[in-house]
Amino acid sequence: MNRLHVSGLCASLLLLSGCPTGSTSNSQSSQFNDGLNAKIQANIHEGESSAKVVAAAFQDGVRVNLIAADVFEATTATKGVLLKSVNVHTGDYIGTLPIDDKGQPVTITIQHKPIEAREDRWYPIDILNVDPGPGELVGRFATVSFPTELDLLGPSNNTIYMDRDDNINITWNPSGSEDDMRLSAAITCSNSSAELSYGLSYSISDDDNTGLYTIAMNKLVYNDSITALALEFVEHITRIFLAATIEVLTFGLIEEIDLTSSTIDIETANCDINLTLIREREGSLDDEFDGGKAIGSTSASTTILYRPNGI
Amino acid sequence: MYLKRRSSTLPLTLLLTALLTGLSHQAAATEFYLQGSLALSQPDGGSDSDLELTTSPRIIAGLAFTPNVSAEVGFYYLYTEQDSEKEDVVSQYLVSITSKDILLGLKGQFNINNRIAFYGRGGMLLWNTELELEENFWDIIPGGKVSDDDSGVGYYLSGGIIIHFTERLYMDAYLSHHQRNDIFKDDSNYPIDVTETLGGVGLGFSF
Repeated sequence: MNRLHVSGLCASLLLLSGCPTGSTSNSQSSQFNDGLNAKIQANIHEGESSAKVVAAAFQDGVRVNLIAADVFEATTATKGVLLKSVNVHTGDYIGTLPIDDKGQPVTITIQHKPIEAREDRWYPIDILNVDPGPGELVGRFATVSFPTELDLLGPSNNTIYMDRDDNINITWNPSGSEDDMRLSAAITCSNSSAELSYGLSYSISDDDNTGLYTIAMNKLVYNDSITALALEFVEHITRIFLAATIEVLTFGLIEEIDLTSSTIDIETANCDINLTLIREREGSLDDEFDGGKAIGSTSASTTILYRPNGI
Repeated sequence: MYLKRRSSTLPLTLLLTALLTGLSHQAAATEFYLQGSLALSQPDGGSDSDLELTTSPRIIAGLAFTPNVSAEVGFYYLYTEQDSEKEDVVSQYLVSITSKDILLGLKGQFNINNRIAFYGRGGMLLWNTELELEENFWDIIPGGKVSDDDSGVGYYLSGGIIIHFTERLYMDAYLSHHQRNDIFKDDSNYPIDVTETLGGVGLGFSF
């Protein structure tokens, strides 16, 4: 029980505040150096002509809330968007940036925008404005470019698996580049009386550029809570843009109480699994940052079904 | 971005036309009256303004040219603020509105008997409206207050009932609508309208 408690707490902290995953193989693993860090990702999902841009800054490991009209702005050569807070004071910022040319880079800069940042307010914001001026983070920037678009070949949508030992062959057209690959899964299991959602993430080694990754269903649908807590949960910045992309707002949000008190018999529950394959390319951060990551990525999704009791 | 809005002046025009027509066909001794009232007002500054229900005083002086038609001038005072402090990722903020308005218009009334009359009144609302913003940044950095005001012409429409206690003293109960359009339209890309729906009760005295 103690282990469950500690693990559950760690999972919650990981997912809610972005604490380290503990996985050093993870290309997005948190790097909480002392000083100012940033985690920034821009992702183009298959079939879309815009990028979801997610950003967070950390000071000595603590997420920084940008206030007083300091904002993240994502721009291409022709378009720009201010990132909005996922919720007030979460320190996570997200926006949708139209992309005219997927070969062009995106720059994410911390700007001071005293009027634009208040545009949702009801009164004349250009007349009534208490502006303390730009904060010390203003001017920091990162640049990312997008890897080749992902062409996810299989499995096809709504493929059904009935055994936890089944292997899932995930195939795609390899790009021939050295971009990193990642598989994220948003899993919702339910029976007649309850539902449980969580998210998992795996780094994929594709050094041979085969375009094939095989994963067993039991790596996605676990059979007890201890196993679940040992799995690598979705890193927070990935979770945010996946949540926005596939519209699963509770993506990855798993609590101890969910695991220990769930009425779901995971052995018999039906699960819908959204698999999102992500091709990631590391970008560059301004030298003023002491650490962190900037990533450009492309992604594609498919949904598979786990039906242990048959169709 | 904002949408430029224009108020419809048709109801006001019709009312004034009817009252002036009535006035031109009547000739009688003039009568002066004075009345004061308090109204419960629900102001609205547009979506998400969430302004507080407030109590607002009004004074009107009138000159009755006929038993049914009067010309009036009045003063109306409004103070309201957001019903709670709001916050977003920028700051915590509270906006208040103070408006000092002159009313210029006509009143036409229909006498049920020598004690009770129904009336309608309308006219120009010469508004001087001030907005004040108090903005704070969670005490991380200093906040402050700023304010600015604007003037313009809107309109008011009202209907009510008069009940005489004596020949000269009467009670007035009414419903009104006040419209102030495009406040700060010359100085801001984000002008607002401030409207009010209000109901009030007051006392009047005829001299």
